[in-house]
Amino acid sequence: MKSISRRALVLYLIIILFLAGSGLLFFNLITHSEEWAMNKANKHLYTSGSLTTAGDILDINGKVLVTTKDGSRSYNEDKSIRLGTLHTVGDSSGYIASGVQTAFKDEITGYSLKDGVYNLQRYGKGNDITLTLNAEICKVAYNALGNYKGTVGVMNYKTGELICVVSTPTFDVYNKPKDINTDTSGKYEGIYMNRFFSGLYTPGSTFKIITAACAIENIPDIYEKEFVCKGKIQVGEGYVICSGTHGKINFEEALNNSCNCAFAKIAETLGNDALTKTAERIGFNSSGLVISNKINCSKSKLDLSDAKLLDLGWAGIGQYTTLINPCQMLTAISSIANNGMAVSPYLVSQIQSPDGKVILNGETQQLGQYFAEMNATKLNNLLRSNVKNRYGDNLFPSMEMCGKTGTAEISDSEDAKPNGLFVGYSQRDDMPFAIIVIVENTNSSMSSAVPIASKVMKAIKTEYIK
Amino acid sequence: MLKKTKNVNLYIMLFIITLFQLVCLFSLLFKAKSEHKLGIFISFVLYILVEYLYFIGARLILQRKGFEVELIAFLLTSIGLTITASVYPEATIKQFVAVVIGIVGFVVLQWFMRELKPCIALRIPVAVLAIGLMAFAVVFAKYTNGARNWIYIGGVSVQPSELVKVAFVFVGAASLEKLQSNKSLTKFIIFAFACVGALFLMHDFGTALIFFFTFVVISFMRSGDVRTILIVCTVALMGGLLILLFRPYVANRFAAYGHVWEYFDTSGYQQTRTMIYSASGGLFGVGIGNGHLREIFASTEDLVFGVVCEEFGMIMAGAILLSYVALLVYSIRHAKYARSTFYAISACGASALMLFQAALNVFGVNDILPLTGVTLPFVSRGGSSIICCWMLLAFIKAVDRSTYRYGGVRQ
Amino acid sequence: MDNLEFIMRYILCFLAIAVILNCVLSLIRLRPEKKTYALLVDVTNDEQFPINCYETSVGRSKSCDIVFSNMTVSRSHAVIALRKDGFYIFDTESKTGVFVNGEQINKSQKIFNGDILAFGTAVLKFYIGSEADDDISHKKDAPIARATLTNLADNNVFKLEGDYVTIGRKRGSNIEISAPYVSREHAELTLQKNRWIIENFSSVTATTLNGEIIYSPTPLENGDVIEIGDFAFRYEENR
Repeated sequence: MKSISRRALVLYLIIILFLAGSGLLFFNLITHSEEWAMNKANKHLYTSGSLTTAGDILDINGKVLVTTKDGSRSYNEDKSIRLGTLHTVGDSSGYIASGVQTAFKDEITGYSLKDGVYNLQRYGKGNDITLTLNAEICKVAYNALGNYKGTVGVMNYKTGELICVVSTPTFDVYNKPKDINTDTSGKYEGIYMNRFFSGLYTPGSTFKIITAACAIENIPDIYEKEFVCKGKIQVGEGYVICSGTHGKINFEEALNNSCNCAFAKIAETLGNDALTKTAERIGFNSSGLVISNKINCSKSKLDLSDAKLLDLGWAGIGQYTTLINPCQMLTAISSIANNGMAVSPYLVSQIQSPDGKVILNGETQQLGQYFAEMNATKLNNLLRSNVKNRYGDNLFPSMEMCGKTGTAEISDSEDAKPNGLFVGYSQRDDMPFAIIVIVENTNSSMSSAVPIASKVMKAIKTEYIK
Repeated sequence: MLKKTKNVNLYIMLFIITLFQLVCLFSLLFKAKSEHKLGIFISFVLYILVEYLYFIGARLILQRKGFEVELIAFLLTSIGLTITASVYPEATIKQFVAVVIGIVGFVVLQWFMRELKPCIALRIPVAVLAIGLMAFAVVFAKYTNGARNWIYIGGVSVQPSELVKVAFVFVGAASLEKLQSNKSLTKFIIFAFACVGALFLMHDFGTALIFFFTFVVISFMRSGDVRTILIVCTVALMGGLLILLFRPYVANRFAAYGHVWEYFDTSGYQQTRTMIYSASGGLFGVGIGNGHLREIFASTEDLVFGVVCEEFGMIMAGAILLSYVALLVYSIRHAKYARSTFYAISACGASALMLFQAALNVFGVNDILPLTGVTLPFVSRGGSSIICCWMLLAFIKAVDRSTYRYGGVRQ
Repeated sequence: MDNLEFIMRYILCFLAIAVILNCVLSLIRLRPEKKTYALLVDVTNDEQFPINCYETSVGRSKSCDIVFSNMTVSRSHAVIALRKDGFYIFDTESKTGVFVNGEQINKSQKIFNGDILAFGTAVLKFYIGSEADDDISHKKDAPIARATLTNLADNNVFKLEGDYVTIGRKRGSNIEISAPYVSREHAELTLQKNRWIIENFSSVTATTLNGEIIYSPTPLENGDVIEIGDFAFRYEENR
């Protein structure tokens, strides 16, 4: 029997192959389990591609943004809230990838490797997610944006809670436009994208804050310097054009007037390396922010490696190839308000399992000291003087508002309108909110972005200061 | 200090298995429609009864020890029966009857193999019968789901290829008159090619593959003649390639292999759904009757592994895979001390067949191997399949010399 | 019910795992016990070859269970097989044939304890193992119902009775052999532990068992041939 038993040993090879296959099988199953279980064909969660059973999404005040009712997802009755929170909450079909409903699929369906989707079976719903969002503020921001494409983001600069995230164009989940995928006019351009998290914009003059910060850090006598603006200035082989003719001005006036000549000159003095260094410290060129561990933001870019002197001049006033992510920019502005310390923005305040256990609590996380405290104070004063001397405190009554507008040229063609931007924050301790408003295709930031910011901040004031 | 391993305690295991079956029955009855409740209840109670009859009979009357092999088979069968009763409650009784036939076949075949002589004597008749059955199937079988391997006799559909599997192992192993000498495999090769060829004519490529694999295992065990086997494999491979060349629709069947997600709603439908729902089950499953994979075609046959993953959980699915491995290890371990090369070869052939079939089934639906549409031994629904598995189990049981008494004394 | 189902999932899994893991571990860890059923002893050098399997192959090839590197032995020469009723030897188409007690066998033959097996020039004596748990030796321990010695010359049957039987020239011996070369008390058969044992007392003429001279008390097996000079007896027993 020796020969037989020896030949039988060869069968162990088959066993090894089988075990290897089984190992691969379970490795695949376990590593892909979430991805596979969240597939739209999974009838535990979806009916013809729409999420049907899952947990609720609530705003910070407990207002239900979406819930499951009678076997389908039911959204807030208020149309403006529905439209304003669409991109943050997400749609049932998962077109909006950064929507909480899609990005937090596992949590909202209560999926776990241990029990699979059993919780849905047991409770008829998954985990409930409470957002840091305030639906009323979102509604105001959405209404203020009107027909503009753009985004409004408001965050608490001390804690990082995002209380308002609105992106337009948007649509009503209950009445989705039929031509949404066929339209060629561009009215639905980027409709599935949350511009606040995923958008990239030319910063325009708002970038001057960063150039100014870099100047404060690197040019000791910057406040003593005097700049001459004649409407344009030669930098390298070309000219940087200014919005006006500001004459002799100092550093603070240059920022108040958003003088391109002055800032092009400052950028020229600073050089590529210093500017890049400051920008990279506040998050440019590194991987984008991650909101609540799930939602990835696009990364802001400042690439001066091939920049000639003229390019550097343009970059100093937020043109050239510079691109900012709205969320990233808001974080940077917030850090100025928060004595230079940047906190990570977050969207999920709490996740609660169906049996009432709190699975996750949103927490404030520090990202690092973006600006030295002393420099942050200087920047703060400059931004405050912008609002006080330039835009007017009547737009932001008793808010001790700081801010900077920007008008970003996005195309050389004549009929293309620029984007209007506003970044700012209130200095009041009882209203520690920073705001970014970006409006696409507008005449000027003063006529579009600033009034929107004003409306939203006023609403916040009413809401938070009783 | 090394402790001598003992056989599992039959009574404890029997108790646990009964509990398992009762919990399954309870779940089933709770969810079943009232018109099916009686059938399910009767089937399960009778199944448990048969189980007790077998074990008590074997333990007390035949005074056997060592029941691991049957315990595993009884457990797997009850999982299969539960899934059948849950998905197709009206087919429960039919499936139960098939299980009983299988168990009877298992007992009878075991009894028949107590002596070597009749096995050897029956070799040729069984081979002729098997080829006859295959030929009959080629001519008369009806096309079902692309493969033509079902014949209908008086309202009952039979899959002859499943029954021929048993005959194939039997004939292949019964080579005793040449006793361990390296003798030619010619006759067996002819027999094997007749069977595999018939399956190709029936378009049942999965089963053809199983037969071919079993053929390789058995002929290697018999002769150790690697050269002949290599030649046969090469010829088979070339034949396979020729078929793919001249019959491109055969190749199309396997087109989705490796990227089923790209064929999400077409030829990768079954695989992707299996993976989605397997993942949905998690480690402990969503509970009997709560799955959605059951709604998909062939869920209780080809996709049954996915149903187990979804409703019983991945842990149980992993344990099922391990049990096929254990059966083969057991056969290999006992091959040396088997009562004859016939028992050694037939046990290794039968257990390798089951393992290979399980591999084709499980890896097929999970896109690790191409999907061939074979059943999962003991678990899949299907009368012929379950009968075949139980009868193959008799070969595995017979390899252990302690199964039989000699001269009134247990070995 | 929801809670019950929730718990039942775990219970089901636990029960199935308990059974499958127990059985699988047992199947993987349990090895069949090794037993020695018989023994082959090389007559030239007393080398022992235990027979542990139901089928034991003999040959020159290394894959055989018992290997002789003797050129007169075929690569695969013979197989000794244990069947329900005892041991058989099969000639597996060897070139030089298989000889049992000097006679070439045709295909297969039943063999008994003490048989001399020859494969080419390799000559071995076959002993059926004496381990108590062995099925065949176990049978040996059963009481002997009837034991006989048959005179091979005239087929006279002598029944062995009582506890001992004497063989010799002396009058009153149970088996009286009146030949000059047979001692007065030549040999004695005694029943010990259900076995008949033969012992030689003669210093003149050898007593042989299956052709082997016996020097010490030797148990008899069914079919053994006892020779004293020209007289030969076959021992047969029923249990």
